[in-house]
Amino acid sequence: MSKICKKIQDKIAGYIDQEIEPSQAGKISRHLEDCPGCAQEVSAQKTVKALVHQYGRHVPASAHLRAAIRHRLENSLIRLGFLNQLRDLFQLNPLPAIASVLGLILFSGLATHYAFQAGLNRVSSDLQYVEGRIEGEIVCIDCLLLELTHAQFTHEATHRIGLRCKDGKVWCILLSEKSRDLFQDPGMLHRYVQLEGHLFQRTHYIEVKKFSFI
Amino acid sequence: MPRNKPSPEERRKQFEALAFPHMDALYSTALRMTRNQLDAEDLVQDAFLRAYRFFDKFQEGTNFKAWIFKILTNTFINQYRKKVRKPQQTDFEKVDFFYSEAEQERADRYEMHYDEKSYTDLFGDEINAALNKLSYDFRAVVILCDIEEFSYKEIAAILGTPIGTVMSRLSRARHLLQEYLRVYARQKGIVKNPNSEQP
Repeated sequence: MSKICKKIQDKIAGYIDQEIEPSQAGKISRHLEDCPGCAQEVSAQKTVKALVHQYGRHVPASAHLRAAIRHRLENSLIRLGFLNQLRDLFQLNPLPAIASVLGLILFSGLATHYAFQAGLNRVSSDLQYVEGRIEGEIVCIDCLLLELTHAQFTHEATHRIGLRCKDGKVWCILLSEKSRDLFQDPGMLHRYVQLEGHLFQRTHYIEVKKFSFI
Repeated sequence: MPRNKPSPEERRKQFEALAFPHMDALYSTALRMTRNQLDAEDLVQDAFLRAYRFFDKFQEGTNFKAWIFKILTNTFINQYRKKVRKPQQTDFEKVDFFYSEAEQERADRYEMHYDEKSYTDLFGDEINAALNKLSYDFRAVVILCDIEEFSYKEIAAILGTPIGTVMSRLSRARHLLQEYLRVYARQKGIVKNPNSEQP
């Protein structure tokens, strides 16, 4: 393979495209007269440029794509228009706008504070658990959902273990020291067990204190 | 206070008048970058939406085509490049100028996605395949220079690299292309006497 001189190798494209200083181009021209290897490289690269240019024509974008873009531009108009209005409001009359925004922040802050407190009380009472015992089949919750409903989600890489009772209720099992065996042993799936522990009835979670096979 | 700012409607019309004539060029470039029709359509849509969102930032009188191409390439790098299956990237600045065995091997191993009809329509098959073997950085400069006919200064602005880098990448890319094409030509028996290429 012919060698290309280091001093011009990175400038060949610029020489061909006439993107370098005339003085530099002159130097390269003179070099090419003395160096057949570089001259060959330059002519080969010229051919490549011509070929790519010749074959690299445009593919028309489909009517479907055009329509989709037009549709999305028109829809984003609403959002953009709203932002502009907001900005205009600020520019025209900054004081009331700022005051109203501050007022809104203060109001919403207070509102969320009280709402949150109230909500917290309610949630904590709901989360109270009862001690209890349930019996059923160890199942994978994801598999069950996919089987029983038209749920559209991707299955976890591992099974998410739960307990399906005779009354049809499914309980999620909280991972703890006591329940670890249920999760780690794949042979547990579809076995019938009795679980004893804290039952969070609202959320259908059980914190296992003891379990046994039936 | 009288305000003669264009309404959003007018702004959209203005944008469409500037941008829509470049749709085919943008789509073709997107196709060459993603090598896949669906990804290309997504990319063009995203680029248009982004361009429209930042239309305020476009300075009137400057080159709109270069501006929207910059948005296209940035969108591609940010979102799509990770998705497109690529050979392991080498540090392109350190790529040996001369055609190495490793490069050839890498190119041969590389599974190319140019079986979709609209994509092969773009080039003659050989040129298409050769361009596909180039890494993104090399391919981008060739597309922008030899197909879209941007100047080095514009390419530098689009890709966010110095002009010198554009020039050296282009030199290396064309060098690789001619090597690839020579291999094809030899395989097809077009070049019958390859004695000058043998070491």
